[in-house]
Amino acid sequence: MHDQLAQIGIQERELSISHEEPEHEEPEPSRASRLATRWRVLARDRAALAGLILLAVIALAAILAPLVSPYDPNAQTSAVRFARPGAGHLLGADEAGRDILSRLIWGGRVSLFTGVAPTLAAAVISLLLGLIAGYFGGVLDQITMRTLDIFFAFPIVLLAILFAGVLGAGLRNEVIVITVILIPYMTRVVRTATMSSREQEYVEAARAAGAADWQIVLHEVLPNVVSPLLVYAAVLCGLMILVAAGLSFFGLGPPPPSADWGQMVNTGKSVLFEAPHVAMIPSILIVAVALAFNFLGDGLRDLLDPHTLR
Amino acid sequence: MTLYILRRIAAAIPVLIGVSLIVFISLQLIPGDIARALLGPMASQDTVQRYRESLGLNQPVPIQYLTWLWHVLHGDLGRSFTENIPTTALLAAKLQNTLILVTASLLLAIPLGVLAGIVAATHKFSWSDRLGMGTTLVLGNMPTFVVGLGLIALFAVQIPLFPPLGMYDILGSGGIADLLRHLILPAVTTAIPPAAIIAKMVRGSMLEVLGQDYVRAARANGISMRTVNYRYALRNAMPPIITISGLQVGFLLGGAVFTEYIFAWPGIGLQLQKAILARDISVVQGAVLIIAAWFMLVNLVVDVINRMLDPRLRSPR
Repeated sequence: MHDQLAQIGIQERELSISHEEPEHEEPEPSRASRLATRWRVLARDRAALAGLILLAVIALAAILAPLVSPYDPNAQTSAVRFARPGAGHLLGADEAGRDILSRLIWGGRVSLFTGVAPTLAAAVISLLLGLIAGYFGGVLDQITMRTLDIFFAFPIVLLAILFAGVLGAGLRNEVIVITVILIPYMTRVVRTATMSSREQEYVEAARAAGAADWQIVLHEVLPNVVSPLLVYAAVLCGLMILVAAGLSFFGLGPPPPSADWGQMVNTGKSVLFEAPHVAMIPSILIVAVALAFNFLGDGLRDLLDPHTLR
Repeated sequence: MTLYILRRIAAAIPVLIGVSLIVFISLQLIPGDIARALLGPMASQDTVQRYRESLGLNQPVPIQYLTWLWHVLHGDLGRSFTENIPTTALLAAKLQNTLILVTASLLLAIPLGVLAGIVAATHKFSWSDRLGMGTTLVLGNMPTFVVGLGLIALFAVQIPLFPPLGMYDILGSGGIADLLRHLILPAVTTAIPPAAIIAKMVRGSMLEVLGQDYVRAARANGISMRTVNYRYALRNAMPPIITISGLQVGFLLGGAVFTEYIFAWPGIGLQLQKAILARDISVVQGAVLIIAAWFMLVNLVVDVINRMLDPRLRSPR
């Protein structure tokens, strides 16, 4: 997942919002028809739609785990140890004879949470930091950016491993660690969007009309910052699921028996020779979810671009 | 040019100080008493107290930091209490193994990525482009540990071609042949995700250049496609390619941490994992510092190379 961060650097640049005024030849469409257009844009983007459906199914399964999980995820049946995928156990059983599908469904609760919750938390904090630094500039901006520079000097996974190793294993710490490592990257995106929005004519107009700074930030700048942040957040969600899985794989995740996907891969690693499917099935799911978030992010970018709505 | 390099180095110094601060402070966050944690619950209060003093833990934190920094600047990273040897010596030996792995991965990732990207760009929208870019998308999104386990499952379990692990002594009895046999799977593992990202970048960068007017003009003048593609386009597509490859060189070290763990490769990443679980603080500090410094150095070198290649950036401002 370290590698994908290089991509993030590029994506960050692609995120910069365009400020070209759409030509207003047609009358402003109504809210309902705008929503309908948005939906059509999304439905046309097959990759994004597939990603959305996959994520919805997995999230729903995780939420409804007690209802949809075929077995108790921790019930050990020695008779089915290393069972290959098939009838009875759809995705087979692991080294302790536990049903893999059930463990994936329950593990989804932890894995999705450790990807999504920190991204949301970091988005809120970064929005605040980035808006202040980008809008007011000056010394405040300098201090913020120089501090963030220090964080950019670490490969992101290394920072996660360092902090997780220091704080100790566990779900709460994992969420804290991932939130902290995300803040520098998200703040930079918010700041860039804020700075380019601040220079626009509509901000000048609002100021001429006598709007206070906080009003300008809230009503003029914020709406232009939220779109790129949202797209970035979708991509980061996928990436953070990879990071969380990596931490668990490293032995820094929530302690057993509450298995998340990364931990399932880690335990599967030790029985790779007897039963490769124990490690491979959760691996495939992790990659699929990361890809789904990626597609969703790309789709969102097209969706939120005002040019596609004309 | 020299001035630029000096200026970049000067700018890197405060960042390095910040990095050392983060590494130092983060280890202050370890819950509980470090000396007690290291000695275990059986140690007497008196022993713990004496151990605290020997570690300098009774000093105020800023003094502790300065003392630590002073030693680090003199190449003294402290003493590993699990291995009971100086941390610098321990990590130097491991760093050498990591560099072997990273160099091998680099020699795979960059040519592979650049080649795949060029082929995809010059055959835009053909089936090979689509297949290549689809593969790239999937591989670029794979965490290193998934790639590694997948390769082991394929090439060590299903078709037993390579040993899954067991690189213990780099310069041991096996010689170069043994080293290579053990090196192939880990090197490919570390190389695959960066190669995929480089390929994607090269394709995008090439396509952009190939759409330029001067490329069309060159073609209109009857210059062969091959010359246009490789002499004109590739050269101008280079700066973003170098930037992204450089980033990958830095990130390779991060990916290598996982590769080493999977394949039990005795490098700095495996040592870091052991040290974190054992709370071997000086080793954690040292390993993180080394990786971060390497990462910064690579970024600096990449900027300098880009500047040398682009005449517009080379001229004085």
